[in-house]
Amino acid sequence: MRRKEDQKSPTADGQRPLFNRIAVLRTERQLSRQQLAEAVGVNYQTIGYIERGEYNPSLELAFRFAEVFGLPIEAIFSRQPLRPLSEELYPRPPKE
Amino acid sequence: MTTRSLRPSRPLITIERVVAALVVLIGFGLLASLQVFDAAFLYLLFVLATAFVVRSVDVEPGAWLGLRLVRRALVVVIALITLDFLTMRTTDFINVGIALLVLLALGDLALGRATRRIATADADRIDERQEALRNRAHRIAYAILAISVGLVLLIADVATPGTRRWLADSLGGGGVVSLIQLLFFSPAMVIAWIEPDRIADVDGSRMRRNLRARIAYGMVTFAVVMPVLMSLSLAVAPSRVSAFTRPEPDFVTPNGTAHCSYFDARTQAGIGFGATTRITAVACWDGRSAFEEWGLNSSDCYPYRAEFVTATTIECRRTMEFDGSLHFTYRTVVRSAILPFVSREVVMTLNLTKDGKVVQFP
Repeated sequence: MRRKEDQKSPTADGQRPLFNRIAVLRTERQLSRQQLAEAVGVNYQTIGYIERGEYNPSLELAFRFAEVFGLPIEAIFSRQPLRPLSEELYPRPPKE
Repeated sequence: MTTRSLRPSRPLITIERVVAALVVLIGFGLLASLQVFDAAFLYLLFVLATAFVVRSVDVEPGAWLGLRLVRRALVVVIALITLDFLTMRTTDFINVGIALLVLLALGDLALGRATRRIATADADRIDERQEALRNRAHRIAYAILAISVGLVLLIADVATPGTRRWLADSLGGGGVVSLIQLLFFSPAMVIAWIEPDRIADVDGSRMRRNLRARIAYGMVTFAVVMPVLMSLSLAVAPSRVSAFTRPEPDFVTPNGTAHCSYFDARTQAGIGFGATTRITAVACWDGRSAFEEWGLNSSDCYPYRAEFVTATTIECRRTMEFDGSLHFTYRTVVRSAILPFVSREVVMTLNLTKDGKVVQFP
């Protein structure tokens, strides 16, 4: 079965949606949207829209996210649906 | 964290509150001067009560205008007022134009808050998403404006002499207000329309669906819908007519004794927001002719009551026929100030024969 994220609609400006882990990383670091927004220099609404896949950030902004979270860009953003981090750390054993 | 802490405490007297109080006072004054103190007064009280209930709901500041539904309702209201100005005649502009102008200014203020003035913001005050949104809104707004204004001018100029006259009139009346509104505020209207629901800083703090919030929702919906329904009643609800006559003392004329009657009739069009037209007169007859003792003059042809409507007299005529009968006709068009395409023609007539027989009233 396809996951819900696979069926994301294009963003408001018609671009292909970009999948991201910002909501997970933000929660993990106990940051509010406002705090993260101040860290990367945008309005907190923009954080919400990026989390929901309704806005694709510029390359400049994507790099700022990478700096704030201390992760490579490809760990935060992807063209393909992202697997949960726990699944990447502890992959399920293949079914017999 | 309690919900109360979401709203920061503010001093009792702030510049916003002083301005709001002044606006309310001016609004009351305007309504009083327009003789619209019945339904309009009650509606204004309801709006104030709604504002009080909305303010008492614990939400993140700006949450109401962050809802796309509320923003779209605001855009519709502003568009209707703009349309109203476009179709308004110069005389109507003098009567209801000021009140509508105040409403439009309040709507534009709310629109600015709802969109955080992104439409006119400098690039250093907004981020890249807001800048993209602003640019997109400008493209959409001015494309729509150019096409619609161009089409209206083209059609009005080539259609009929009446539309050409309307075109010339609208440049001197409410049409200018409409044009200014669309020129300067249409990008903000587009942003208010297309931007999704605003997102809360802290998840779940945006709008709690408790009982008070539901009541507030209901009151806001009612406050927006009620004027529209009341304006539609002008076209849908039948006119209510009441009339009575009573004998007046006789008096002697060179032709003999004249018998007189007092005539009083009212026609109500619309429910709440509507108009009442009235005929009051004393008319007499002496067997050779019927005539008025007082009333039935051109100065009597004005609406007795008009609330959020404009009443334009198109006929006010008194004639004495060859057979000695008296005819009086008062014809007026009552047009909604909120929905200018909704109107109703009201006709009141008094036909009295030389023998005192009332053929038609009202």
